[in-house]
Amino acid sequence: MKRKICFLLCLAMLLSTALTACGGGDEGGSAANEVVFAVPSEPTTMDALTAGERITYLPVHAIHDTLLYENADGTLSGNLVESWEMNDDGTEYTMKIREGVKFHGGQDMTVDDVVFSLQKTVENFSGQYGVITSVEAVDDTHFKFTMEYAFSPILNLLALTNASVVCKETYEADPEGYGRKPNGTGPFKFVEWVSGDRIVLERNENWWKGEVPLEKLTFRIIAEEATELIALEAGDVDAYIQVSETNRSTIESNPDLKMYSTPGGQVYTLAFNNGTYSNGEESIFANNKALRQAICYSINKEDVVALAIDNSAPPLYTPFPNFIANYPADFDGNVYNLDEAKAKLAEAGYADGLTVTIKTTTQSGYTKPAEAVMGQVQNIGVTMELEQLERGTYLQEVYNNFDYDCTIWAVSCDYPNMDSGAYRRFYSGNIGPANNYMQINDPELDDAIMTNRTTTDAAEQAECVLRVCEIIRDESYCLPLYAAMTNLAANADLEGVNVNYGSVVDFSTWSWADAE
Amino acid sequence: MLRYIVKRLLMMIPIILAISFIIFSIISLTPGDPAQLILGADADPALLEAKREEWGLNDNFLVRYVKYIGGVITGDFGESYRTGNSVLGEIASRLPKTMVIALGGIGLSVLVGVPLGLISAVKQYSFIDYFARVLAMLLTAIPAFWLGLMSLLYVCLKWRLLPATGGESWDGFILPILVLAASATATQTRTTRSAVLESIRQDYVKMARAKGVKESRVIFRHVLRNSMLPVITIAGMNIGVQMGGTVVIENVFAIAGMGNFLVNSVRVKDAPAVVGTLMVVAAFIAIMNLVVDLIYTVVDPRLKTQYATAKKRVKRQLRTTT
Repeated sequence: MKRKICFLLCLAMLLSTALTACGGGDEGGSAANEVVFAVPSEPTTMDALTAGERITYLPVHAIHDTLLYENADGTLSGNLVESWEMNDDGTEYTMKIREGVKFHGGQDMTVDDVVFSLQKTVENFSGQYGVITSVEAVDDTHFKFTMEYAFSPILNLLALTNASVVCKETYEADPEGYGRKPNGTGPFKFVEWVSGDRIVLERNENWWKGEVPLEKLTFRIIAEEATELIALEAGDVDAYIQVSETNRSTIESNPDLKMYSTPGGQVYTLAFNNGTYSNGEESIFANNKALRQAICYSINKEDVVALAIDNSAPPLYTPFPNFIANYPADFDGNVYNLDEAKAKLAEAGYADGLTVTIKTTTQSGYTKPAEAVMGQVQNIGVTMELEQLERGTYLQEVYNNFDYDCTIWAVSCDYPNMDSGAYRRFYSGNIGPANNYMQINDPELDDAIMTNRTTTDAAEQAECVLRVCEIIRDESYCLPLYAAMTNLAANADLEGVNVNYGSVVDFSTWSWADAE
Repeated sequence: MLRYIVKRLLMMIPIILAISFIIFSIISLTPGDPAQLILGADADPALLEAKREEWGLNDNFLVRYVKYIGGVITGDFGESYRTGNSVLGEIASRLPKTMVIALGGIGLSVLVGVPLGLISAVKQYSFIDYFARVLAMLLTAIPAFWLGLMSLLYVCLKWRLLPATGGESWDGFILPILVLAASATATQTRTTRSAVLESIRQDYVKMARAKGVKESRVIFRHVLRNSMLPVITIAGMNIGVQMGGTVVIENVFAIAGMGNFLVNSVRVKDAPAVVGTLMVVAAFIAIMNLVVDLIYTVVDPRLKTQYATAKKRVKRQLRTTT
């Protein structure tokens, strides 16, 4: 009897092993001169001309080159464009393309490729690039584009991932398929995309800037951050991005790992609905400046950053992160003042307090600051009821339909100019779905935003930045809380690791310390 | 019997159609714009509109469903909004991994749970019985998500025995299968134990023993065989549970399987991907239930006779009415 039982148990183990063996496949972990980079979600495309979110930009940026290159200090230098000239009124740029650049497929990069790519970008991202009215080739090495008006941050826009150059011939042959089989000029060539699992790139030996140290770059899709961290510690992956602050101490205390942090471009903001709901009724915060001010005065940002992000970034008193051009470092933003808050609340007609809803997505990055704010406003008798919504519902209700009282959302700054955050979010001409969802409509603010866009005078731009900060503070249309850090954790033996405020990573500089 | 199988297979068609309609309705009628969820909250309105048009999202919900189901009938499950690939292609590339995990989990739970339940019942109130009962209780209570993370922490990180992410090599499947099998093993153990305990007290067992039949023959021939029906029922029910379990397991172990595909598709309301995946899962569960029903007839030949008798009875009735 005992023997039979033993036999049965052994058989169970043997069969389970045999079943697991059915998987087959390659060995895990990274080989020499290869980096396995974990990403929390699957990129949606490899098409630089339609890519629209940060995780997607990572492989897209490794495969393509942009027209201009933004250096670590925010300055710009030539990339696929070597030099450029602006006309007298700043509405037209003539640019010279770099010669001798080849696509991964072997085609030479021509001015037609550049014109085609920029035209597509303007078409696909009209909100950002719509100021460009025409793009045309001048000769074999030059092209020019014309703008509706002199738009000062245009060069910053040409350094963004969407301003990359794709091979026109490949793109036109199969526009839908390009996203799965890209042909760029970047430091890495596309090899394979195993849906839901990984994207594999290999070194572009003909890259115009010279060979990069890494031979292979694999993006591994790992949805759970706990798994990403364990895989990093176990050596199954070499780096991952969007590291949450709760894991900072674990990473920093491990000598085999290194944390790279930079102030991020996303300003977490308590946003008020300054307009009407979708049914036409006016929001409780619309036309009630005293009420907005009361809430803003009642919030101690020091406590908010302690509770929400464990003091990993300082409180922010301007609506923009500190890396933008002409940032007013000494600006006095809304300060915590409970007495003033109570007085303003009484002035607003709510001396006995009031109840409003605060809507967020279910992600802790938004619920944590919301909970911190809810605790703070209770001190003046305001009750905020938290409504956590699934992302799709949130975007529809808050972003598109404006059916909310207040919310926590990150106002993103994609390039180091106030325009990036201000134009879409605060300009009245952009009131509408997915843009100025706070429904801010202030002619003075509009004037400052538009002047900053159109002037090339640095002093005037600095004045505009200050003016926008002052109006946002005085009118309390929203309350900036903090700019969360952009975090990347990597194996300590990796060198040249970098990440910028917009989570853009330049993998061309990455190498292993012990690589030959 | 063949008629019964064909009837059951035909019954699957309306069931799967009903499932597809319910899922399609839920995905389509709940708030959220797939184009915005996929292209990003700040995507350009022109690009969003172009995608909505391309995916037919501007059409009426019923029109979209009819178009979709029309495609399904001709074998075209559409393209995933998120990946741009054909849904069938996505399923085909992911199904083997999910099957290895789900069937591995079921297989392991039966291979461990049945013997353990049997020993536990035969040796009632012994150490092994207490051990099996406590283990079963623990495995039932521990959530798969937590168990997965703990096993990653110890097995992969501390002891470095297996890779932390599954799906790349054969050893990457060991932990997911073990974690997925944990809860099912507990259920299997407990069910087998109670079924065996019930059979072991039956008169035919006492009779066999009184006749001097060897104890091992009594257990395997008389007790175990007569306890198999509830055991098979639980194994069959576990198939559905295991398929659901792969959703969690594949996310914890970063395995590009159907569960992972489903979760990511639900997040962005990718209707063709969600409905297609769930139709395949529903068909699989329905087929496995049919297989379980057929196994009943092997284990208990009386059921086979009942099917035959019923058929004959119907024929007889038909003859009398005509």
